[in-house]
Amino acid sequence: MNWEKCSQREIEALRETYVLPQILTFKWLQFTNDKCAEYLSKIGAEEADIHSKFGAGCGNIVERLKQIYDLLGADKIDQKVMRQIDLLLSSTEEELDELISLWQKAPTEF
Amino acid sequence: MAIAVSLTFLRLVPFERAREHLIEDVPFVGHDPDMPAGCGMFSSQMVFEYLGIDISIPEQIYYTGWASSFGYLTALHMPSDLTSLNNYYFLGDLYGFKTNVWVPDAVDPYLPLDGTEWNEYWNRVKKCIEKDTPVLTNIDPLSLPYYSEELGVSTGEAGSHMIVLVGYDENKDIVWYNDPISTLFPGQANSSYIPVSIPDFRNALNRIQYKKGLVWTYQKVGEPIELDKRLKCAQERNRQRIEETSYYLGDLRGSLASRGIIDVEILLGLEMLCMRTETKLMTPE
Repeated sequence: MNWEKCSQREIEALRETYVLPQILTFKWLQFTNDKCAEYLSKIGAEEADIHSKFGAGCGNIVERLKQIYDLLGADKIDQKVMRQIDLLLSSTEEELDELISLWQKAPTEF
Repeated sequence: MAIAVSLTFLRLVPFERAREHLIEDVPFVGHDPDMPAGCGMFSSQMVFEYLGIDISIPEQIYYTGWASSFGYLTALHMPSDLTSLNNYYFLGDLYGFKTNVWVPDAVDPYLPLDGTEWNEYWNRVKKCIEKDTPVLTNIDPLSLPYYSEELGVSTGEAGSHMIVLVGYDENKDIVWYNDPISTLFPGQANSSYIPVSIPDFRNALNRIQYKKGLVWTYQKVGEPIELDKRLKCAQERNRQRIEETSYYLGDLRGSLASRGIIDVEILLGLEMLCMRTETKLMTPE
């Protein structure tokens, strides 16, 4: 990604229309999965563990996206900031991979 | 002669519906302090508790399948599925209640309700409240004085927010509601029976773009089915939703991996994804 070519307007658009909604989405998924884990463990259902792990993974993604959101709000996005954002995107991608495999395994584990 | 005059008088005076009614003891359930989304869920919980439907927030979340689906409605500023009626029909089958939903016919989502549509909506709301049935409805929160004062902002587009209507008094031009989101504001830990003028309420209702004039009620019709059966039904349904979730997550992963998240094509792709979800949700069920 060539951050230097991005205009301030594009960065603002990226921050508000892409990153912010994703923060809220993963926050919601974290909340709902934690609540499911709470309920399912109370009644002794095995799938509580999957919801618990999924909630934790979503929480990790929320933290990284929040950092990206803050970095994109900087006055100037220099090389250092770009590297930070790229690293955060990489780790978010890895976390998503883990969530996908967790979900893909889930149906056979119930 | 006196009797004749009285009868004539009675015929001349039209019958008028009660112009006020307040449902007593509708409990308040506020948002989790860390969770700004989910007004429909917390509003529903107030009505469930009022009607004696034995269900908790975690149960509501699990059996509606919200934790097993993914998506975000950009136009509404909230996660998808929160407004999906199918979730509540399904939940009702498991917990012994019926979900009744009504919106005015042929309403143009981009225009305020006209006089006829508003009257139809308002009469329906009054009828429910007179029967002690709380009504869930959508408004634009920033259009209510309560919010604009609390947040220090003028009216804007805050999306759609669900509240519970619990009473009205046409003589004083007031409607009362319970608002689950008030727990997110300092000093407003319990905002039940909030009064607002009917014109302000009508304005807030008209400023949303989605399901304007919604009248959503619950009715207890039976008892919950056994836990084992409930779990089995939900697990099966959630499995199907997880498959879709994996697809959405995969799509998001692809866009992140490309490092081109600002590229027009990918932004358009995301928009398309959101639009597809929204269209699906807005299709009458």
